Amino acid sequence: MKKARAASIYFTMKRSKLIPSLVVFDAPDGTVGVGDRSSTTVAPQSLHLMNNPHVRAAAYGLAKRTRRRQDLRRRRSDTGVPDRVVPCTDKGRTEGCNCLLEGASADARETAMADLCQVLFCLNEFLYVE
Amino acid sequence: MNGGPSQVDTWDYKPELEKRDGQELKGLDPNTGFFNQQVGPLMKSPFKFAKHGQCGKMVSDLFPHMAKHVDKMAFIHSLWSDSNNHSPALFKMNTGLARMGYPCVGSWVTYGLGSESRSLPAFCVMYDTLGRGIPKGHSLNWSAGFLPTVYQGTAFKPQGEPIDNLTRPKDITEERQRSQLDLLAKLNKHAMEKHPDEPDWLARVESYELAYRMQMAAPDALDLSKETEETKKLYGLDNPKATHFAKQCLIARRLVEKGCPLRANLFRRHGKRSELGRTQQHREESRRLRGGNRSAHRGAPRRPSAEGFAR
Repeated sequence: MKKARAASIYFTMKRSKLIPSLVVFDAPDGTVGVGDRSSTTVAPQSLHLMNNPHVRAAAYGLAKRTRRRQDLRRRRSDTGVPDRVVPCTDKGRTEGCNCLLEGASADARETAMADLCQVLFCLNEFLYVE
Repeated sequence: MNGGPSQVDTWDYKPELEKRDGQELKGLDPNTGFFNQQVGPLMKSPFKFAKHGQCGKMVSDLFPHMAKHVDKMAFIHSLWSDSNNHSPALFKMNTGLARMGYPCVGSWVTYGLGSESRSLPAFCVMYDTLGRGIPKGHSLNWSAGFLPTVYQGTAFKPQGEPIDNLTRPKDITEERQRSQLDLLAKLNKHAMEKHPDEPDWLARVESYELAYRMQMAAPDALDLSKETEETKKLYGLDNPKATHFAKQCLIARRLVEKGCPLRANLFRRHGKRSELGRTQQHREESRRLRGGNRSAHRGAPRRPSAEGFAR
């Protein structure tokens, strides 16, 4: 597994009860052979990333991981996400973090960090693997 | 409708078929299609047709109400198919080709004409709400094909909320979400300097703004409680057999009024009638059409009075 460059996950799909988060992101029709899976850009995908409770929970999870870091400076420049996902320019990252954390009280910092982490999930660089 | 009543029983009167009822079809290969060696003689429609309106359109007795409005309706009789199987025939109807992967008519129209609405998807798709399944071929029926991905139809869920995740989570205010989106746009702009000619990236950026506006606009478009009781009754919402179809028709009308230029209502009504033979299954279908399940007729929009329709 460590040497494998790709992994496959198999699970059961019930034709009459499809999984919404897969359907919205172009899950192929399991009843026909599909040569090339479609890739669409529609607003429900954006709504999913913006408002879905699972996405929000994942954002909080990532925020909690970064909260554990003691150094505030490191928290501002490194959210725990690999560099290639976040824009390379330090200016962009710093600006972004400050934008959301500005004015946040200590109590609200976790929520603000979750907001930032959710933004990272929505980045084109996160969605479109180069 | 996917698997719905045949055109020869509804809107496409076939006088020659009536004359040849019971005759063998000359030249037919008995091994054609799914019913090898089982195909019977020609069969006329079991429903009566009559002329209606000033245009004299022949309509079957399945649609006594809609028949009164034929002068206000457009009929396209030039459609044809070269497939007798569900998925390829649906692809043919929606995209023009019996193979998957070609853009559908909705995508072409929005590609060519755009949309008046900035707050709703240009091309919306609704399908069966009674749990009878997605149309055969699924989203390939409303696919953008080789057109930019942004022209894909937006499918509304058949049960529950039509659009998922339309409501902001309780822990995010509108101001905070707006901040998120502004930051996202800024960060994406940085990244797009490396990918200036990537249409999908730009489309993705724009889709977040559409999603943001949809949060405000879509609930209003989908809220049928704002319709008058007269309108609901005219559409057939009060008829339990027609409610599902009537709701979709009414939502479609509301979407058009709000500037959404194209919506496709794809319904699954799995009839088993053989076009070329009298079978037990056909008799059951005939019975269903007559009295048990005339949902399409009841739910299709009848013209309300001018007063009721005025906006």
